[in-house]
Amino acid sequence: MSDPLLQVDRLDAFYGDLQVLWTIQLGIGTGEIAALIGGNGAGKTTLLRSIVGLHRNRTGSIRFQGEEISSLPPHSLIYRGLAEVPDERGIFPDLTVEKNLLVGAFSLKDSRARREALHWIYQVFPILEERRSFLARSLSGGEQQMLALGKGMITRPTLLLLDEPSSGLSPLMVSRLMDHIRRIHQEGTTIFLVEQNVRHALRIAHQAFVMENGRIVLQGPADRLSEDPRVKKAYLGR
Amino acid sequence: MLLQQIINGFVIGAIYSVVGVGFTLIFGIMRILNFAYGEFYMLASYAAFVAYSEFHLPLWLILLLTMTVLFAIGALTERGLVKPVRERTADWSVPVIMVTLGLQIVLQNVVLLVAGGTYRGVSAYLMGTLDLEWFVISYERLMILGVSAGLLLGTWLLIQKTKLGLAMLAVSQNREGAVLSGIPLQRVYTLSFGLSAALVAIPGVLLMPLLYVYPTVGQVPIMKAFAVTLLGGMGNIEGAILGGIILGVSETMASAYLSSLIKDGVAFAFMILILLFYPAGIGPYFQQIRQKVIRP
Repeated sequence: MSDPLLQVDRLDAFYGDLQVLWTIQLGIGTGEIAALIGGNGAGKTTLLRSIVGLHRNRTGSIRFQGEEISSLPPHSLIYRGLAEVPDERGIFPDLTVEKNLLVGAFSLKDSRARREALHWIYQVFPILEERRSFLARSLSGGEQQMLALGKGMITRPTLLLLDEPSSGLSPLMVSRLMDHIRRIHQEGTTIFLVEQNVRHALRIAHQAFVMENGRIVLQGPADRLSEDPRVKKAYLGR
Repeated sequence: MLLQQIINGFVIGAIYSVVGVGFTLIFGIMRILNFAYGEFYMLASYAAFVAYSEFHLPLWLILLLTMTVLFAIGALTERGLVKPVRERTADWSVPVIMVTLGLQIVLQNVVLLVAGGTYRGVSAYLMGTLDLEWFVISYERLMILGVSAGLLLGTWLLIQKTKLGLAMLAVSQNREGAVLSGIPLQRVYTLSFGLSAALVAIPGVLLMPLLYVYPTVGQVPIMKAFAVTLLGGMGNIEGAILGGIILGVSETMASAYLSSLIKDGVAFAFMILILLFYPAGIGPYFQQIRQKVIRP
């Protein structure tokens, strides 16, 4: 793999004086699906928040498309093609489905581009068009997750960070969700997927990182990691 | 008689709605109470008094000028006094509220120093009365009703139909979600503060003949703003419009059928009564009903 799309070097993060991330080193290449797996409290969400700058108490280097982004304001990243769907889904409960998607398309310059993007999302997720005038809070968990994905991909970002998209979904919904993520990937978006659902994540990912206690302890091709005895024992229950 | 009182109540209620919308807007977006809100009103009132009695400007021009000036004052307040506090602490709600409380007192004292404590005012902007057999309404009240309704409609359109409005709605519901969508928080805060001050400028101008103007006149509108905002639900624009009408009508009824001395007491007792049953305000319930009407 040539120059990585996202390169994180020696990233440390803190809550007050407490260090929670330790010299994180990772690279994600263009066109990949990369997965970050690990248990509760391993620091996965903090890592994503540190990358996009929502968590600012951190040191180290974060480069996106070769440019240092760690000192940029978080709202500017989407204009460069870096989008995130946060762990609480980042949707707006008292706005309609359509307005949620339009907020997602906020970074697109003119209103025609926003309309076209909206139309495209309705093609990808027809259920969202059916529900367009519903308040987001009235959707089911699976529909809300689709809305979050649609909102995250509406600008056709170069890199999409997904924080625990499967949380709160039934097993059937999870496999459908993974199909959707594959589809977003086929549309040309590189994916960085943070998951507790290790089995599913390793199935769709090319590369994976295992995180424990704020450190990356294992990394490699996803198919090799899923055969790794340590991963099997800790996360796959085999 | 009853119809007459209801109409009078609506006129007062419409302008209370404007007062409430500007106040609740800032709460919805920034989760703070702006205690200097009444002083923005007071500055607009003084501006109107000077412009009208000294320079004899036409009313429409006074409205336009005070709105512009107050927008600038509001935006500058956010940039100069609120932003520095926000940038120094993550948990800035309470410190910012204290700053606005301080600004309230400082502005009252500065104006007392400059203008003195005298009550000033003009008799009315418009003379004459419209007699419609069922009820009479003075041109002044008709104008207040028209301007308020126009302003509320304009605000509603701004919020529902423009990109800035979309950004404001997004920030009010999920700050981080808004940021991740590329919405610049700082600009939304500054513009919202300006807009809020520009909104209360209009009541400041239009109610000046009725309430007069003096350094502490801001106490009246901010109490109304609190009542309207609580009635409608904190941060709820449509609720504030409804709350303003309810407060206006109940005040007018109380002064017509009981005594004008206790109208505030009656109106606020009514507010407490509603809050006992709907502690989150009536706005959310109103919106639920509307959702059901839209898609049964």
